Amino acid sequence: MGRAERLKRLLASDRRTADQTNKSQLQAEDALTALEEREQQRQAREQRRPR
Amino acid sequence: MTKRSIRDARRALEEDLIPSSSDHVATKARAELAANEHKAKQHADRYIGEREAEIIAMRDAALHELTETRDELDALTAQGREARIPTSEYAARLRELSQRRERAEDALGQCEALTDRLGQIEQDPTAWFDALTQRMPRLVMDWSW
Repeated sequence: MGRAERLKRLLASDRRTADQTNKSQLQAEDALTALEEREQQRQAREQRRPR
Repeated sequence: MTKRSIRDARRALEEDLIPSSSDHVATKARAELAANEHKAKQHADRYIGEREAEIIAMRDAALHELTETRDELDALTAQGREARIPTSEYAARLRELSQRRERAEDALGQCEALTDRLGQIEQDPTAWFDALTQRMPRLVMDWSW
């Protein structure tokens, strides 16, 4: 096997790490959506509260 | 002595010299061609070795960045789920981590493109050497035909 082929295999295995990081980002984005929804609900409750 | 590319020397050897020369002359010329092709291959091997080291260094840095970013994203997600961080701060941190991930992935993509190029050089080192001599004429080889 040539040196380029060895490097290619190494880089192909790195793609798994890239996929894991991508998955972590998607989960972080979901968590942001949940945070934003909670904040909107809190603001709505505060607006409804009698002054 | 004539300065030629390896491709041109090979063509001249096969089409002009061999049909009109004795076996002795043809054998000597073939040996000269083999020696110069070997020199070109050594050049290519050195070049590949240097680029390989650069690619590995770039790959190591990108991989480190990706794993660190993944761990920080996971930690951020945990903070967000427990609502231990203001939304605006969370969003800013997520943007920053997302940019780091993109840069690291771009670097990995560059490593892949450079590796493809090295593969082409490995497959045909003399063609690479000929292309190099077009940019660096001082490397053009001398031939006896």
